[in-house]
Amino acid sequence: MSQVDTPVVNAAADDARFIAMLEAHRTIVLHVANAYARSVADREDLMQEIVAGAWRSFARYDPARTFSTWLYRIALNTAISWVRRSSRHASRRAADDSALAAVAVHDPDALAIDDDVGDLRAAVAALDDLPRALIVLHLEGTSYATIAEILGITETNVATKLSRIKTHLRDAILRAREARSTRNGNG
Amino acid sequence: MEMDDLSALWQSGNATLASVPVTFGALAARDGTRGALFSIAFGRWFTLASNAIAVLALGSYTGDHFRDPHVGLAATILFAIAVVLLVSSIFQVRMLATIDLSAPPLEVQHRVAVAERVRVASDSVVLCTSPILWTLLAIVGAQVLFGFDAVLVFGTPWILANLGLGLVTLGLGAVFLEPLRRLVAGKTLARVNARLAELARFAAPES
Repeated sequence: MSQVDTPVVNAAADDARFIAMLEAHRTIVLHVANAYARSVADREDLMQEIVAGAWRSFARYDPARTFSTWLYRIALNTAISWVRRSSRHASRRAADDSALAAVAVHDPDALAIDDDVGDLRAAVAALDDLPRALIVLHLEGTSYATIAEILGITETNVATKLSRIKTHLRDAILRAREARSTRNGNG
Repeated sequence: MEMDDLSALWQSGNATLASVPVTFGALAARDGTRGALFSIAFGRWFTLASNAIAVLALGSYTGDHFRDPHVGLAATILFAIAVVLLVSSIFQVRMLATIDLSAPPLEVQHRVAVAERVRVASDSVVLCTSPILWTLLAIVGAQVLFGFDAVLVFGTPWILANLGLGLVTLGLGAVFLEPLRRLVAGKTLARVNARLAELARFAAPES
């Protein structure tokens, strides 16, 4: 192997390592994108941005640190920036930020999901970006300590906020159930 | 409904995602994908370049005409404003360029919001002082383009008319253009401040 070939080979090895690590953690990219996107097309765009962001940052990735924490941060930072950029565009069109919250739900036809799952996804989608990140991490089974590390807040704060968000989600789902049963009763 | 129920619901939704095909190799290889902060950073770089050009041009002109009555003063004021705006845009670009996406989201979003607040404040100052800037630009422009001292030739009524024209233009813009209305009314700054307050609330321990 010549000296000239070495960087090319290293770059190719880096590519392969990066793709392999992403494949091993595919649910992080897919689930975060799904939690922040409002349609299947949005989700595809967001996943592409997350992968591109991760690829750009990969040169600075320290293997001594957990890859999942590193990837969660990139995915959430990209998703939050993406949502806020979309919100600004939407608010320019609608001139009313509250209108965005009302439509910030998943496309119910995109996935074959039952009513309760749809209600939970809609309730999560209506949360502000950071509380949404917190509950998504928790629902994905991440420990309090890791959530605290990913988001940059204390573990106690994670526990307190989760308790409030849980109450909020439970109420939202119950309200949606009631509204549905009323509609069905009337229908 | 308990947390376990919510988690079970969430996981059942995730199960439907398992069939979504994702080819990371293809996603990583796609060209043209811009960074999450590209659109924000691009605007700041453009502003920085414009401000740098303004500082160079006005600095050179001010150096040559520093002692000229009226024109020298107008150019000096414009130069000083351009320097302030350049410093502001350097600060914004630095804030955005040093963002590490693998840092905690709270930290990243705080930096983005601070850079946004500086941008909005700068834009608001420029907009609200535009009637004065307009007149100063007209004075310098008359000298550069036509070679005469506008204050001497047209007198005070001309200055007042230009100030009035600037105010009318600003007023019309604020009435008919939503982005201008938001800037002039401070709604954009209020939105950014609300975002910073939201981030502070999220970071603060709850009782």
